[in-house]
Amino acid sequence: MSSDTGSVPVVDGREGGKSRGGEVGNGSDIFFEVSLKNLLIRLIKNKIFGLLTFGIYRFWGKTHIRRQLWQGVRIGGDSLEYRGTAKELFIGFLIAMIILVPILLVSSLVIQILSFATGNPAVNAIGQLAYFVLLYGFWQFARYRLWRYRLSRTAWRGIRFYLSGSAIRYALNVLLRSFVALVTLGWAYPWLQAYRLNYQLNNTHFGDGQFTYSGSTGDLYRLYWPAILIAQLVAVAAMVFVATSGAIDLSMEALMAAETGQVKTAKSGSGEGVVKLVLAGVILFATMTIFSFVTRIWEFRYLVGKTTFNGARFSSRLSVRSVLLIFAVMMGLMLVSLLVVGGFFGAIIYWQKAAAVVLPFVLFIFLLIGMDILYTLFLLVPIVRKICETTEIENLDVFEETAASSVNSPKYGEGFADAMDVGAF
Amino acid sequence: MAVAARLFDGKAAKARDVFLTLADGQLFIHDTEGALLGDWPVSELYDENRPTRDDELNLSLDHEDARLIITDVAFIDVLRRLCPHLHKRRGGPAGWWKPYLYWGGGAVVAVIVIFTVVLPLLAWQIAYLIPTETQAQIGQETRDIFIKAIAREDGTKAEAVVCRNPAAEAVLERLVTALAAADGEENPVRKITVVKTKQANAFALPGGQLMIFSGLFDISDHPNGFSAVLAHEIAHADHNHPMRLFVTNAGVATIFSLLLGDVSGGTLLATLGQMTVGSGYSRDFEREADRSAIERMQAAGYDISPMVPLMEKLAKQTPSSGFLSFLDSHPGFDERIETLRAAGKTGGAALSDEDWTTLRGYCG
Repeated sequence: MSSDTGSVPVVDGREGGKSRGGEVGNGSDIFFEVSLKNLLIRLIKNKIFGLLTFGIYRFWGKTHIRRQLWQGVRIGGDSLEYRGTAKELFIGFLIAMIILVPILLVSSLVIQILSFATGNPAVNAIGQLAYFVLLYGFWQFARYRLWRYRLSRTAWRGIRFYLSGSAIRYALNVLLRSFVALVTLGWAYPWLQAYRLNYQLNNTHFGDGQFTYSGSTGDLYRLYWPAILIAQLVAVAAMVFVATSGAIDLSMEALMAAETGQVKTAKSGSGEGVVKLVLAGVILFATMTIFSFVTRIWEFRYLVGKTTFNGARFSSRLSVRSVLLIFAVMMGLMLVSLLVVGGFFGAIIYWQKAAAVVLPFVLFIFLLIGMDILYTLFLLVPIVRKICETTEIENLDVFEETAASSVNSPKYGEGFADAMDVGAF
Repeated sequence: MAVAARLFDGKAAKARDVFLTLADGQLFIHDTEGALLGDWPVSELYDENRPTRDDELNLSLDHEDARLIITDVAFIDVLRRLCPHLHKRRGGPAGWWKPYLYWGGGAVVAVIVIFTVVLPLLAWQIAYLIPTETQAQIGQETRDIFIKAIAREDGTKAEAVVCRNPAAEAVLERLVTALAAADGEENPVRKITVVKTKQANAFALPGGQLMIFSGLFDISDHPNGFSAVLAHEIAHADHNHPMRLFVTNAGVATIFSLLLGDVSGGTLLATLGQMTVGSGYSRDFEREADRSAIERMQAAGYDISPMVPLMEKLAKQTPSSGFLSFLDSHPGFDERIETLRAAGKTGGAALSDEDWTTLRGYCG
């Protein structure tokens, strides 16, 4: 593919003239094939054992799921293999607990002591901020370690991947750039993204070979500016709207009235204020979500196109429409299942009042399990499948010349990440 | 019979075309030139595919990276019959359990130390450091929430449920002074709010706030029963228990959410855990307050034994939580009554009949 494809947000599906049928079986194909039935059985088992063991089983559960998902990815006819063990995850978690719990506990409490001892709300705010920064930094650190662990446990054709680089350096840089992005109201965000992609991709190895990412910050700006601009315009519009319509005053009144139970005495029109405020919020949120979503997909196509491996080139035709469709289906399924399950339990409680004590708990667990299963089967799997289908590799043969690397892989993985809920599966 | 297969030796990504033969419980691997690349004992073969595939075996020999990919369906059947644990999981290497033991033990010790030593100590220290004004504010806000909730229940305004009665207030104040610790209070009671409601309850809030639900007057047959409850709450306030509990709960919540990770129902389990551990701390506080109440009553020359029938009444009103009793914030009634009985008769009446009548008429 030409080197500048993807630097312009091409509306999907137009580039690449190959027909789908022509690609299948030509040896440079990636596809994803996983048995939903096996996955479902495994997910249900994981949930049950997870509850029975107070969550300790999650390390074994995760490992089983990953083996299935990894094996489902076939590149050039050969499956990926997940070689991590639950033991590594569990020990990693224990190590993180021994280190993380005291650090978080002490730092959160020190911040509280400081802010309370001075009794100054400004100190309190700074303390909260410092704690948040600490958590955010940890989170980035954990994310990098998680990637390193997963890559080092991923093998293809008997050779493992690996992620070099320093997780601390990565976390500090991301922290710094996130701060700048925040101060510039999002305008430095592409700069932050450029760093992340650069650092992560250029440090990714397969055996003794290394991936190269040649994207530029300028190109990312070209992808991101509409989203940033529109998010800000919508934010400003919403603020102006709220300020001029007096929606805040009215909704505050409505809230106060609701709180004191004096709905009747509240000024008429305050209900309208709440509606306006909610509406403004929904519009703001929806616009930002859709634009960041679309930009993400553009960015993904861009980064795939800018990544090479010893002469092998990659390209992605992932379309905004197909991903949006998957999301829409997922949302619909979630809504329907919520209504069905909620209605079912609601009916039971209505007819059998005594059940109201226990049922909410059952309902809660049921929904949590259900949502997770829906998420995996109808969002994660379809998206991975779509990504695989739309990715092409040119010169796949060069991978055959790769030898195993002598770099040591991390002994225990993901502890920090697990404790902080980084990573979806 | 030689079967074609592909070998990934774990050293290079290039597949080697190989031919397999079975003999003497060994799987012999030859390359296309006929050179022997390896002989894998059939008893040591494991299929690494999860889930298993009907049309492919991904064989491993040991914990190393080499893989043998077999797609010949007939040969797969032969191997399935020959290999005893083809689709089972390979056992760990020798001494696999040691890291579990060391790190698991370390984590258990760390968690125990945090819950039993670090957290209570920190909570005490922080509660001590929070300025009086902040504590008073937290207490004030909590009090207002209670008043509002009761007012809503009765369908009246907040001001209507707060009782004002100068004569009764004076009696109550005298009683509080009499029940003060002999060596003075570290955190004195600053404000007592009496609320008109059928519920019988009394509790201490941060910042020296006490709340009394007027049902407590109705249920107390003897002034000393009420006085003992008051002494118990004063003790809570003096030891700054409400604030310490507040901080402890925040800490416990942090730890549990870290421990449980993203397990389904994790929030639920975390809340349950927090209630269990948190109420454990609070039970300790209750015991401390009970002990202190006995001492205070004794020092003031009041008899605590009328609290026993009061407790028994309360016990009847409160449904037993049965197997959920580990969640109770108070020790069991039986245990508390036992403690009170052990104290015996500790003095005389706390209030004259006249004063007791005045106090019981606090809310009219």
